[in-house]
Amino acid sequence: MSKPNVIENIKNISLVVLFLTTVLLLYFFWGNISFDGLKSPSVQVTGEVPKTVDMLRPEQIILNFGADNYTVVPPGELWYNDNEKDSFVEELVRFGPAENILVEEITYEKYQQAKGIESIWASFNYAIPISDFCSNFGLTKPQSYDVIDSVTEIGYSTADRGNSLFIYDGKKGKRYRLLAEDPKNLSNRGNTEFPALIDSIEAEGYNIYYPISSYLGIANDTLVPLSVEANIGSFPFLQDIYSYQTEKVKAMAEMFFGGNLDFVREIKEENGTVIYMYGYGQNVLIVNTDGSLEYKETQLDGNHTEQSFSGALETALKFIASHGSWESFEGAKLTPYLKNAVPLPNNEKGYRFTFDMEIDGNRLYYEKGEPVTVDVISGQVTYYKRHFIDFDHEDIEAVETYTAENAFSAVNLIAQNYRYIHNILLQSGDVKATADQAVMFEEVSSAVNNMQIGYVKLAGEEVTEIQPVWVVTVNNTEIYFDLYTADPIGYSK
Amino acid sequence: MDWTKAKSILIVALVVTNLVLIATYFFQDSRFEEDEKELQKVTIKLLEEKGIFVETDIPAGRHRMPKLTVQYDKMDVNIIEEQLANQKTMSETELTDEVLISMTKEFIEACALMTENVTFDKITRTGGEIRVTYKNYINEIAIEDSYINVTIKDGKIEGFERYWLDPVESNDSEKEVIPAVAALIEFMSENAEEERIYVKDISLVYWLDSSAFDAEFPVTDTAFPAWKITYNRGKIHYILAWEQ
Repeated sequence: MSKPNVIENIKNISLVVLFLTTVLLLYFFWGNISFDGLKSPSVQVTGEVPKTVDMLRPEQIILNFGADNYTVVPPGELWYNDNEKDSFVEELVRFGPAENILVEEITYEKYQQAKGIESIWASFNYAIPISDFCSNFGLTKPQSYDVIDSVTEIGYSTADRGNSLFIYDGKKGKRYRLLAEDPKNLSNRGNTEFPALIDSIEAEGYNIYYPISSYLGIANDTLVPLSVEANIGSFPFLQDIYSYQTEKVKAMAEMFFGGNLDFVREIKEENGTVIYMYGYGQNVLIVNTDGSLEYKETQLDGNHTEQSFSGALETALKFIASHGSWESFEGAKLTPYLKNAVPLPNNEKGYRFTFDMEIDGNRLYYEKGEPVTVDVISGQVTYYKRHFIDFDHEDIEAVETYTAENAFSAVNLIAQNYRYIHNILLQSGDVKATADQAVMFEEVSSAVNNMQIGYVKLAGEEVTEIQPVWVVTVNNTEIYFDLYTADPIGYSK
Repeated sequence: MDWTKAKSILIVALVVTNLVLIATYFFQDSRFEEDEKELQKVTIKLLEEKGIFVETDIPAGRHRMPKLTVQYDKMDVNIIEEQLANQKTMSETELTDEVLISMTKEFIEACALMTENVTFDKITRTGGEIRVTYKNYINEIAIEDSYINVTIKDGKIEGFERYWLDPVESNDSEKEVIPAVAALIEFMSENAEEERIYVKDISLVYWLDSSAFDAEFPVTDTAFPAWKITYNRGKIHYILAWEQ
């Protein structure tokens, strides 16, 4: 080998050795630097945030066509829609002109009189502060509205020649009449077309509802349908999350603790429950074995800011969107709406919001718990419970293609099951024990608050199907019966 | 291109780079050591002004530690009772420390409870009763509140008490723990009553704060690195050692 070649070989070897040495030295040099810092920051996945206005939906809309001729419709698009379709809210917006609306408190009797004739009513389960009600639905709020605290029910009646709206404030227990324009000008009810809206619904055809008193001769104004056709059926579902799905549970925990997950304590209980805890319990996430998640957060010190009803609701909606989204983890879509909003006790400046879900227009009832519960105090979410289900939408679509069947008669359902219902009322102390069947029947019939069809998710981890049901609300208890056979299947207090 | 020349330039560049790296590494290390010594002196002075007297060496250096998943270990009481019933009695004079350690280890092994983490801690003789204590160590770091107490009376093992946390998984991510001096300063700030304190020991441990959350039937839990400060005749205070 010639001398230059030897030198070149030495250079080559030296280059390799020096390069490796550099790498080694860099390793030592950076040895104390955590590679964690190179990880991409935890991404806060934010799902679509529903609009506040879409969440504020009445429990039901009742139409009185006159002559004890009623129908009850789910709110859906009839209440509010973004499209050009006629809606209750659209007519409320037209009511006016705002500067000439007079507000007067009226008696219960006068309010009932207005309900007794041709009219349309939207009832909420909760009281919405009047300013939030107006701002959300785009209603002008004249100064005269200041006497009204909140809206629990709002309706239009042809009473007073049809120039009045009626409001029930469930929070204060007061009823109001809102009179448009100069009451002496009897022909003017603003631009509202409520009568046309009522007429159009009547013309389209509807399910006839009568008060229970009409069927059973017992004093009860609750409306029940004469007959209902339905094409809803059972479909399989899965829990949204199973506590043994380690990766999924961890991904969920990351949504709550983000980059701090390393500092979070993880506890697994014998029954499978997984608990994540940050600090000395400031933030706790519990993944229950029934597929629900529960999150608690200590209220920040010195945070006593006031937040409006809408502001608090918006905080809740955003929080849910960024902590699991409004869909199941696998993307099953349900339609959420605000079921209840209760001011928190002990002078805490906030609300507990409870959300329910609909599947293709049919409400999904839970035998135990609710799909979503959120506490918002001074703009901070301090409690969040989420209990979603996962399902394949194709299963529901398949059922919906079946020909509609007659659901079991609502009135016959009461007649067939009054002993069962009475027994439930007895357990909760709402009635006294009696052997007299007639008394039993009367007590049950007079206590029914509502009858509605929907789906139910029964409690119990072994349950794998969502079932179509009649839901009979008696006092504060929801009792579930098979939609087509009226066999009792469960109840929820 | 003149490859011969290029190689020479590269060799020179790499040599210079390596020399700079070596110099920086050693300089940095010695600078940290000096800074740490200085910091310790200042901290001890500050602590003394606040009535906290450190009567032990303060651990130096920087450590990285993971958090630790531990499993609440259960033992078969029947096996323990069976082993206790089969004890041979020894005379008092035979019970030297070596013998005590040997007989208790044999007992633990016979109960199928011996693991590499079972580490002898101490022997306490009170009246006619001797207690041999074992602690739980992983990589020379104690897992707190995890122990085996073996009681010897009348020349034989009479009692066996065990609360054991089995380390099942170390977290992938190791984090730097706060220096011992920082833990002492935090301890000082938590001493609101300004009690006169004599620190006897400070050491790194894995700690599971059972006061923070009361789980019903936990199977696994997470132990975090913490500084264990022993003061005033055996009082103990823990300071979480991961800087958040």
